[in-house]
Amino acid sequence: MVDFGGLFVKAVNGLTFAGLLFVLASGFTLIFGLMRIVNLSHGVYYLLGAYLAYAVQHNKGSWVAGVAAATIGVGLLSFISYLLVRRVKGDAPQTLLTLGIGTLVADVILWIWGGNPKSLDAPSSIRVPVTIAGFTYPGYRYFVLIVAIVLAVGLWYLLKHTQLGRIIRAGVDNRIMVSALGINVDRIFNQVFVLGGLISGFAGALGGTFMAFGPGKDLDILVYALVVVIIGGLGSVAGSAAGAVIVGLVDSFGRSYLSGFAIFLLSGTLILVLAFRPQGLFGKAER
Amino acid sequence: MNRYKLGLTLLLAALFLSLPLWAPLFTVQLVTRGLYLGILAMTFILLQGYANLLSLAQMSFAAMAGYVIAVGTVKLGMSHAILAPLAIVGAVALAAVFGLIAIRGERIYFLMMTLALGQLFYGIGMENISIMGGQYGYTGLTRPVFFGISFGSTSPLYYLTLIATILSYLALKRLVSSPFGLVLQGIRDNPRRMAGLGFNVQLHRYLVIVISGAFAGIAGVLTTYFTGVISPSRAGLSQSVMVVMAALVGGGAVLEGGLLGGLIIVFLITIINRLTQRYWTIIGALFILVVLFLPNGLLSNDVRLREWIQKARGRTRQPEH
Repeated sequence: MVDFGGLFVKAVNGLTFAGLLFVLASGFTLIFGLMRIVNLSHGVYYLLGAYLAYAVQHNKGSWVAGVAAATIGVGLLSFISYLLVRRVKGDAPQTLLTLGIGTLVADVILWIWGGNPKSLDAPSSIRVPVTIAGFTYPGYRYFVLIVAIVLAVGLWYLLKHTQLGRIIRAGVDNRIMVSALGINVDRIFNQVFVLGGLISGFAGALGGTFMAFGPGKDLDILVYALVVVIIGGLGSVAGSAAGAVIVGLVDSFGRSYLSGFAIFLLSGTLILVLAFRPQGLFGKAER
Repeated sequence: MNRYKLGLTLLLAALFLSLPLWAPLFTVQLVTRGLYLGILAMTFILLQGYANLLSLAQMSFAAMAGYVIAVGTVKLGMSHAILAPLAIVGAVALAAVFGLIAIRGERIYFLMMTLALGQLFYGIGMENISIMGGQYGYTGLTRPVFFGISFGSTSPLYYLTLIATILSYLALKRLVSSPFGLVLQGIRDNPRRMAGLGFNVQLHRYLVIVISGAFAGIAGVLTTYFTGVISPSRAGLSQSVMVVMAALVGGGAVLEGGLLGGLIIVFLITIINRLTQRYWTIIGALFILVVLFLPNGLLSNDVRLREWIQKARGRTRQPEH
């Protein structure tokens, strides 16, 4: 007798986690796709977002205000980071620069908020258990999944149907040509970098309500983001979605059936995908 | 070797060989740490400066060597004489696996993959308790006794590290100027042309990763002798930050820069650590400043620096045409 209830819960666990993974990977892949910068402070962006939301919520602010503070605060950090990044030439030094920024900000976070794990409380309106097809499940996790889908649609619209999106897509394919056409690439880069930061801060607040956070969490998050985008294909938003679903499900089923080997399983998935599609599922072959 | 180089070499040799005779114990320990960090930075530079491969996984290879020693001594009761080479083999094996996967990406992709693999190795170390000892790993490891000398005490370990560093440096120096090293540099500068000339680009890249693993393994063995501890944090990103920073500060393109950078970073961190608890903030800020203002390190072949030196020389001596 197969335990359908258990399977259902694990699948929903995986899918809702995938929702969070998508939100946190999409900012990362957006920045990478256009600028070829691997933002190594991405995990710290997430962590800062979570702590900012925590600070607001614990000073008698609402959860929504916390999410807004996280989004805007990390967007600001991202803006400052870009001012530094633009001063350096070459993808490798730029990437290393973000590593330095991450190291600094992570320690400042530890300085301000200390080492104890924290978590955010979702407002009661989205915390209620929801029953679907006879199975009751925490409503917040469904909420995260819905938010991820809305964000995916929003990003799809942005990339396909707005002028900024067209420029970004053109820039992913050929940056030099875009700037030759008279578009201020520096300004576009700035906007995309800040947009990536806004999404990451939002992901931090969303994820901080999903699971506890503390010092060191930034690295876990960075690894999840890396694995999701490497599997999905760098710079591809659709790839991030596919990567998020795969990683979410592998993680969920791995933790329940092969506990203690979840990371091993994650590595195996990564290796397997790379063995057959080195550019990732949705990635374009390197030129 | 010109006069200046000979003089500098003799001076450095005298300084390092006599160090335990006049320096405080703590300084000797710091230099030991600086040297093995220097070896690690050299492996980073070997990949970065000579093959255009940015690797954030060098600490994983070093940690692997540490785990071989820990598991070998604690679980299997093996002797250090067998374990030391075995640990290096372990590091090479891990490099061979990582290389096989990461080699599929170039430049920034390679960096991402080495970071992901390194962090996954870290994650496995945290999760696996039966073999790797989980979060806390192994502590209080025994130190080797070779030729009747215990390498648990400061001076013998210092000399062992010094010899290993010098041999590693000479071997790497020889490697980069060998035909293999020249092919690597050709690949670094123009992979397509080298492929067109009939060189197997991927094979050369792969081999240099594996070789870097061997030297990272040596550093890992020395680190484990020094600390007597191995845990996943050895392979953590903050440790890799140190290695990258040592390489960047010293000079990302020349091997000597790695050694210089390793010593500078260890001393710098010790000083900062005494002044403030928040030393990672300072390190992060320094890292940013180094990338911004010293992109090619102190011992670089920086064009600007060379021009500046030539200008300074030009004041006293006209260039010969």
